[in-house]
Amino acid sequence: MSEAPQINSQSASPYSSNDAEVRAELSEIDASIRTSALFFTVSAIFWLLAGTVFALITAYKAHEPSFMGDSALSTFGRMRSAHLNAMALGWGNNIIFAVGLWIMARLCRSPIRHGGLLLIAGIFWNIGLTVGIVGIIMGDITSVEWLEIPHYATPLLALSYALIGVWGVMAFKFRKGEHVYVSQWYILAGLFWFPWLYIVAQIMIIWFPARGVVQSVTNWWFAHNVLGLWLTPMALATAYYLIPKVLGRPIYSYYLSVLGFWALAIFYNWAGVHHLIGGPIPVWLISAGIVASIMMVIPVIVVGLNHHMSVVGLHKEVWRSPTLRFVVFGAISYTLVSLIGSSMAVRSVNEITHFTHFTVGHAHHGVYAFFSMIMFGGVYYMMPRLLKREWPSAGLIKLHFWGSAIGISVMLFALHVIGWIQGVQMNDATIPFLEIVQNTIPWLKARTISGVFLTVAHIAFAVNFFWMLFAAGAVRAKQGPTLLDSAKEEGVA
Amino acid sequence: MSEENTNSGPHPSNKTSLEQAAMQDEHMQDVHAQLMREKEEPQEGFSPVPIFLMFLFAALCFWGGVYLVHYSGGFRWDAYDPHFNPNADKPAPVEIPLFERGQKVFSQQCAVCHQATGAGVPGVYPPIAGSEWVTGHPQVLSRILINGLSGPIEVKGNTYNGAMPAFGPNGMNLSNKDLAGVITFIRQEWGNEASDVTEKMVEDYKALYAGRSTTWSAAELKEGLGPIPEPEVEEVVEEDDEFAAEGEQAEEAHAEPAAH
Repeated sequence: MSEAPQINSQSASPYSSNDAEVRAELSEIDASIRTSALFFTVSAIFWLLAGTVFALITAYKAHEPSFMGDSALSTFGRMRSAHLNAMALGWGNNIIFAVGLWIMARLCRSPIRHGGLLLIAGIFWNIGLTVGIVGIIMGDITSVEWLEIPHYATPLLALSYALIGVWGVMAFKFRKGEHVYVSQWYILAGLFWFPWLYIVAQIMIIWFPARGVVQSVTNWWFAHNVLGLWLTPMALATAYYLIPKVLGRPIYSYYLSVLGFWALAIFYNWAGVHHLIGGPIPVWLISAGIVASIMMVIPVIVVGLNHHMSVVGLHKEVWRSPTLRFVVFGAISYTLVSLIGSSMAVRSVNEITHFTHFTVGHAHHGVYAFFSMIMFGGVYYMMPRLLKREWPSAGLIKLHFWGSAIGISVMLFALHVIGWIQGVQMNDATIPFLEIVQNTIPWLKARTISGVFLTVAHIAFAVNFFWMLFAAGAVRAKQGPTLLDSAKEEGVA
Repeated sequence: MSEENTNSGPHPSNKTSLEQAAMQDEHMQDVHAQLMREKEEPQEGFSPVPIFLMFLFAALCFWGGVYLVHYSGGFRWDAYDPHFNPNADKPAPVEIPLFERGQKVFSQQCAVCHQATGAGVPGVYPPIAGSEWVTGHPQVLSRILINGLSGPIEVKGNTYNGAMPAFGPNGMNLSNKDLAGVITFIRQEWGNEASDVTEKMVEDYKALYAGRSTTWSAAELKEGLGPIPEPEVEEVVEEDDEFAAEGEQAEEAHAEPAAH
């Protein structure tokens, strides 16, 4: 390890560099992945917008069931599943392919060779996904949560994923330098974990269905691990890359990084079974899942501490940088959502939260407040490097941040509160079920309103993005990074 | 990565150094502004893991182990209840009848002297088959077994003078169940036809003679005998238990619809 970089070394002259060779290399790497990363980002944003539309319809139907109720295409079940898959596999996977592979290539100092093939694989991924989601809306949906995509689309998805993931593995294989940075561990592991999860789940549930409750166990093993062994490592890798990168300060502790990574790798795989608490599966499986869920406190505290100690004292810089404002919001959410998740696995808590809106809120806490916010930060950092332009509008970035932050906070508050009330009331046999359902309506309306905030945020994001992408002339004139307050300091973006 | 590199001139044969040269061009620097203002690639510090975290993690691991021991249903495939008790569904251990238990105890503890036939050894060990001491008042035999017997005693017309050891708390310390078993066995085997001696009776006798450290003599044995407990009492108690159990089941059956 060389000495930690001097934070102020660049402030005298922002254009001077003491590692020109590395910068030249990075420039080459950025160029090698530019086309495919742009394609994945554009796809991700389209899926984000499509998923938002599905989400709004679903949220509105939750308290106004007759809305768009005349058509089978727009029934609640199909809209909800279309939303889930558009967000998880459309937004989530595409943005991982963009940001994750870009970070992997940079850290490995290894350009993406034959990037055209990566682009083609990406096109097939999105074709497969489009077929799948159209299939869901047309009624070919499977009855398995998180695996709703009909069987005729999944082989294409699995195959094109393999062709995409292999580029990250190849970048790692041809890496330069002795030290493997923590982000590389997470991305490499995630690239192997996801296909393992997806293919096993497809085979055991859709193609050659296992008998009986094994299907349910596989289903929740998959559904929970998609969050924990795919979205989580990718978002953590992004945060681990961007925090030191923007602040120019090393990550606090290598040892905490190691502990956090391996604890996640060891414990998370067991945790999904806590979705089946009370179900007819052998109780040791559930208890093992509960223990693993509680043990997840270890990686969460470790990662949270590592991030916190790397950022502490530089809060002004975090607030000024569009990237870090999103990333730190996501990192804080990671700690919160994981600790809440661990407590939800305890039997006595689960008896209340299971089968309520609490779980829905928890899922959005993880996928949006944690994963998506960090990925937004990743896009804000990556795009200027890929396009060699600045973000056109700081105002739109602020609108995006506040729309997302307020929207998701309102949603989480509403769903957690009503979920808990709902759970307590459902455990009381004297309260009629319909009364409980009616109690949730005002809170579900609050969720729809939060959805409007998120929609505004996503539109601001998309407008800013496509403005940057297409209005090159207008943007090029812009000097210096786009920051979120008026202070004219260089060096943070 | 060092300062000198930035100042070195271009080498046409080397792509990297061409890039470096290009970056010194002011126009190129503007185009690469984003890249140039980047901080260095991320690095890691080596701060140690705080010690309190290690304690916390050790505590969590310990808790996990305890939880698994308590709620894993013995790691059986057919256990579904977190409070599963691996012993609950096994049939209650078969209660060996007093007589059979006594038979075992007799063959281990008594048959050496009194012989498997109960005939004893003439002149040395008195017979117990057909002995009036054995088949008479149950308290007599109980006294002999609990505290032992010494001195001359006349059995079936012959006088013996030996020392019977104590099997109560001062001697071999057999359990109440074993004592009751062996006494019952002796009183009912080899043509003997006396009543059962229950565990409860032995318990009472033991309590009665807890303070006695000396053995009995033949004369003492006949004195101060209590009334023979009614054997029916126990059966009545058993019936009560059954009724009570049935009553509970009935109550549960009634309570069930309300609970659901």
